[in-house]
Amino acid sequence: MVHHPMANPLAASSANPWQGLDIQSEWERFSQRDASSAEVWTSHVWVDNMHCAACSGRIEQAIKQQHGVLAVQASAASKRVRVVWDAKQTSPSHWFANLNEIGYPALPLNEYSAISDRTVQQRKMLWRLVVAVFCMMQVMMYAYPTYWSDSNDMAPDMVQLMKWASWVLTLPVMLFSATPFLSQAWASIKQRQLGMDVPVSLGILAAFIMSTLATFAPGGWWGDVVYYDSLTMFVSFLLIGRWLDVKLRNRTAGALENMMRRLPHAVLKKDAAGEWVQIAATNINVGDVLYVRPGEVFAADGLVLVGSTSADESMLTGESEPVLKPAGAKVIAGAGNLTSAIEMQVEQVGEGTQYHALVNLMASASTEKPGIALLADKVAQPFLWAVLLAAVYAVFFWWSTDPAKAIMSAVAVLVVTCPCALSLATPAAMLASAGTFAKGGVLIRRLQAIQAISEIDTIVFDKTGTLTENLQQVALAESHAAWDRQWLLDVIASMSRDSLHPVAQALHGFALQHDAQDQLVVQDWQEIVGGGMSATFSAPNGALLPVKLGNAEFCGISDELESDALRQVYVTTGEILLARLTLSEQVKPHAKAAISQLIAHGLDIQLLSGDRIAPVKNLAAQLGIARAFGLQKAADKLQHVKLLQQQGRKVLMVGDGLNDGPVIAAAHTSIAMGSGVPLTQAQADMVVLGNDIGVLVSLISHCQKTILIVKQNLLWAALYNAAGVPLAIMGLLPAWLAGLGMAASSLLVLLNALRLTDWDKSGWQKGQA
Amino acid sequence: MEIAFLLIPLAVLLVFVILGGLWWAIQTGQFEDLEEEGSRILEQD
Repeated sequence: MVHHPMANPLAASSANPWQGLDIQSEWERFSQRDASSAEVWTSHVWVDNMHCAACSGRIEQAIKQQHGVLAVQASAASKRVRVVWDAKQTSPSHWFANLNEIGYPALPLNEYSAISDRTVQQRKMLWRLVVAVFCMMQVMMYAYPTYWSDSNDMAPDMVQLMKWASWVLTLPVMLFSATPFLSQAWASIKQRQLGMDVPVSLGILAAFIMSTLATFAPGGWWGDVVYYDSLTMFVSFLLIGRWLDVKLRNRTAGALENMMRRLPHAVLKKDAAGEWVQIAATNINVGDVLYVRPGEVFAADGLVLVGSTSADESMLTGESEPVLKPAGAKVIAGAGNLTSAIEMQVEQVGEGTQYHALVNLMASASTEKPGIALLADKVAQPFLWAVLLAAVYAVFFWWSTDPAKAIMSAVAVLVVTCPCALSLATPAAMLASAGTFAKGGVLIRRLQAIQAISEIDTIVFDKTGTLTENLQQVALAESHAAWDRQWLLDVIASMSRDSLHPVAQALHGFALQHDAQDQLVVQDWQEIVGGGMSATFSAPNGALLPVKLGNAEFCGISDELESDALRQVYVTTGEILLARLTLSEQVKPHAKAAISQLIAHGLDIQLLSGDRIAPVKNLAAQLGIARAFGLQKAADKLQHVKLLQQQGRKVLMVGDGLNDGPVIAAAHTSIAMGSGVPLTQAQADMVVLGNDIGVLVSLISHCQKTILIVKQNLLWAALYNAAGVPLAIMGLLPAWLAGLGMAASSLLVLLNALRLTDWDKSGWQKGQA
Repeated sequence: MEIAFLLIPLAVLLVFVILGGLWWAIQTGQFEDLEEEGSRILEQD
């Protein structure tokens, strides 16, 4: 065990540990300045152990005691506390300290403004939808009598009153609900492009203007037919799609920010006088000496100055084993300090660190991806032009004979072509599938992923955590015949009890499972980083026995046996081998069945892993995968995927570690298994929660089914338009029938999409193309 | 049927009152925390 010469540095500085937050640049990250006063701030903090109303009451009391705190509101439901405070009279460290005193340590909610921005956006969309639907229902009530009554049934002034009422009720829809479409259409016109929103907006505007004229100045060339019912229904249908889209995107958007939060906010720095002071992580400079305790994350790249430790760099390099860091070794930002406290000298900060380089790499790899959305918009362009031309043609065709009929026919074309059915055709089916997937534990980050997944022909798997469990499976391969086996297990349990190393923890769990006791008297226990552990035990015969547990080199074993196991661990005393244990990875329960099903459906399966070649090949053989590659670093994997893509293949990447991030971003599409780190989840197109690899098979087949239904929808919309447009141009289609046709075609598209809500997760779905 | 000339404008007015009320409720945070407020009265000051 590496002993660090320094006592608790916090005690030495005797300062409030939250002092790092008292810098304005630091508190700005979780606070907003009050609109009324420059000195008043509203902060949001997270209290993890606030579970009940009583907790929130105590928390409010504790913070209120602080002079200068103007208002506190704690919510146990969201575990959040909102504090309004005056910067002239108090500072965050004071009330953070108050919370700590009563046993509710708080964390600053740094991403609060981002979260609230997204929530505000989503709520605004919902509010637009509520207004549109509510007004639509009222307008329908006034439209209904005119559908079914003869023109003589109702008094003309009653009809006129209903038109006025409808107009008033349509105003909120036009001025508030429909603004996203109108403003986006305007934006795309300014960029000299024809987006999906342009015909939509033209239809909305033309219908509204015509109806307005018909309401307030009936009898002109514009006639006296109103379209308020079609208009409000149309806007409502469109808004439902938009709102679902926004909601879906927000659900997964927070993940990237979580990853950025991995670096600590505050660090301990040695000041000029040699004392440890807490500073904000943003104020670290190159050359600073920092104190990093075990369990903390390195805030910057640098060198170990005093002490030695081991670091968990798995998220950054894919190295699954702890890396030994003696004095003089390089440590990287974002890696975790595992075993002991060290002092480090900072060499690189912020943008210059490997951590930032990796995050940037992921960002750039993801922008290289072809935008399927843009592609779809381009395909739609000719259609949109055709619709506009048809509308213009209708105007010219009728203008000389009857201007009212000309405009009405154009509106009928715009309404009946129903960009609604066309624009709903794809998202309705995809959203239905996305919702179904979400219920089944699969989150979708990009809707386009459904299309991408339906097209793939190659799947590249990462190994650990994807095909295998993260847990290591331990087996007692051999034990010395002269020693009591149970006693040996007791020794293993007792030695590995206090170590945090994953292998030691696996051994400890294994021994306990085999009825071992971990309560033997352990003397001189030492853990040598990168080697193993040594200790002295009293043997059953009473003699003192020095025991070593660790790898071959540490235990002095020169002729290590070849093995398919990932790793071998030895227990020795002196020259005598007491036991040999093997650690191997456990294949996930449904992995083999899933792989063989995927192969049966014509997909090429490949395996890439950062581990040694022998275990990777062994695993591949076990699962029936023909092509497996070991010792693959992140850059190698990226190269491999790019090579496959150059051969014209569509690659689906299934991974889970951060080292897969760039590969996941570069692949045609990607799926992350749920135990992955948040950043990868943010980059992958889909995230499978839970560990069941079997879901993949039905997921891929359901994506293909979704695309099939999208195509049916598009075909229906095309047929409907082919029939409706000529009728509308010829003026044979009355406005109400155009509106009804629009609603009916949308409804049909939606109902067809609803067929996707049924998802059978057991294997490949039958009965489809 | 003359009453409809009064009722229809009233109904339109009611729509705006309802929408306005909902808008006010959301803006003032009436739906922010549905769990906590009910138990607030049970707490000691």
